Amino acid sequence: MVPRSQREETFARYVVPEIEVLLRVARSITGSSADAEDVVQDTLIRAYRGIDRFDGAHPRAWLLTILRNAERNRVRRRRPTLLADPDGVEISLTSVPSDDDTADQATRSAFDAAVRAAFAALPEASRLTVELVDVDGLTCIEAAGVLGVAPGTVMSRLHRARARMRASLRHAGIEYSEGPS
Amino acid sequence: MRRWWSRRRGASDDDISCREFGRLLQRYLDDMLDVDAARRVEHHMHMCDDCGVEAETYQALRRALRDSGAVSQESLSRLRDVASRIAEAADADHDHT
Repeated sequence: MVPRSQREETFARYVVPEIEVLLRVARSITGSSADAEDVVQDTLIRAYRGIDRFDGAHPRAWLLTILRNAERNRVRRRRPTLLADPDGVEISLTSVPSDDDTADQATRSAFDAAVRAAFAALPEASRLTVELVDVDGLTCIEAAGVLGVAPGTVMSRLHRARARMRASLRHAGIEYSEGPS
Repeated sequence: MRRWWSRRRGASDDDISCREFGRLLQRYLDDMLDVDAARRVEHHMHMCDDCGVEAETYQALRRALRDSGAVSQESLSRLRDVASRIAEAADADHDHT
């Protein structure tokens, strides 16, 4: 049995630095700040309990797997009959910007506002993919693990979605020059 | 729009066409190119105005998305507090379940 002090040290070294990323990802997949906090708390507890089996390699990938399972359990507890879509992204997992974000929009530049509009207009699976990679900062491989799809699927969705957002900016007459206009 | 054959401003062995640049740009943004390919992309974006603007626009788009995703500092603080006393939290959760 690993001593408690060593477990706590390993937890502080590998898990604590990932809390913000976990919170970002949890918000993306739950669509709710409150649910995200619950899921991350559950993830932290599961990670601590399972830390003896963690080999020290790829802590983020390990934590994202735990988070994904914690989220699945949460959804199962709440909605036992929920169906999953063919891509493995549960239908209820929306990434609509929260009310907290709305207040900030007023002060954002026209460029940022146009980007947000283009982002909001994306199909749901694409939007969640963009959110995990471009907003939350995951790699394509990490996002693939969260979504339960192949990395190639993430890349193709991501590239199509970015091109679509780029086209939306162009149609809106928004071009980037020296700085966002 | 500048055509792929029309770019000429200090041509070198690192030159790629605008079409090739367009094909590689997304993977460049995701740090998925090898060092040589990334260097060619960077060389092209500095040589070709149109492609340079295209790359800057995508980078600005990603920055705007990233800025839109700030998390609640209160949530973060609460979770860090849980993490700082994780052994107790795990025991309490175990007792509760």
